[in-house]
Amino acid sequence: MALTADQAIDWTQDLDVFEQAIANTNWDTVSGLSAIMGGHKESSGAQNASIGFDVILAAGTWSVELMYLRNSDNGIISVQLDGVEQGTVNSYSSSASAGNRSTVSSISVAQTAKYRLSLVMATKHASSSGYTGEIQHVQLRRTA
Amino acid sequence: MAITNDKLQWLRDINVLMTPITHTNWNTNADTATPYRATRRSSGAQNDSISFDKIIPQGTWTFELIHNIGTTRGIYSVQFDGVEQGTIDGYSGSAVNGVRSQITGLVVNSVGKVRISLVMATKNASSSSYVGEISHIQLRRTA
Repeated sequence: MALTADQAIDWTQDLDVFEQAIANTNWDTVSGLSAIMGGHKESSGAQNASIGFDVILAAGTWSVELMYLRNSDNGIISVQLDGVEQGTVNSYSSSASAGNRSTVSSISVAQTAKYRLSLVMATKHASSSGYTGEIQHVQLRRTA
Repeated sequence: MAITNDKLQWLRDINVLMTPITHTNWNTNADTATPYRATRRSSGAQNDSISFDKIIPQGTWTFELIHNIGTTRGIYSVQFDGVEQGTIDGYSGSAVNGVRSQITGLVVNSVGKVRISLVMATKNASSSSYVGEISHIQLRRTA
């Protein structure tokens, strides 16, 4: 019996960011210094460094949660689906910390399909000295 | 080609360090001496619960939990959509991190979204509390 999208496509999808991404620009360094998860993936600090992951999402409402590092040279992470920004996460802080979690919620997915989830370091906080991104994990959760 | 039950993934991991779909009194606890270098830990109150939504295909499954055992730990009631599938006792007279415990032979009769919950409902008679402390969950289909 053929399954529907609601039966077949998982409502919680974890992305291990330490592996090779399907696409990246200046974002491919794995470091083992973070506390939680034992490491993180880091961008070069160049503006618009990006990393992409291909995921199947069912039509519905989704949240994207990032676990990431904050630092004084970190930028603002633009969370995009197929190039369309869904929200941002500011990873700047004057003091360094790991294991921070932020969620972009209420993302409306109109059609069941493969989407490229991209994290783009497009902008930065006025006080930040760079555009670096440092992520430890990504999780997608369907909420409706 | 239609997607059928047997073509769905037989191995399903849950990173419990991210935000669960719902929880009562479970928070992330950095601990470099554990796998993943952190745990998600309950407050110790009875009936603290944590839940995750996963698609589980029809079949027979093993539920595996990586957790820290010790003198304050309770018993995990593993529930699918509110129905207990089995229990895992987190109590031990001495603390050990990264212990793996399984519940085998879980029969799922139809494919669909299941709310997987861990509820700290009871405790070993020797335990001083109902604390749950977990690092990871994996579901493996065996038949």
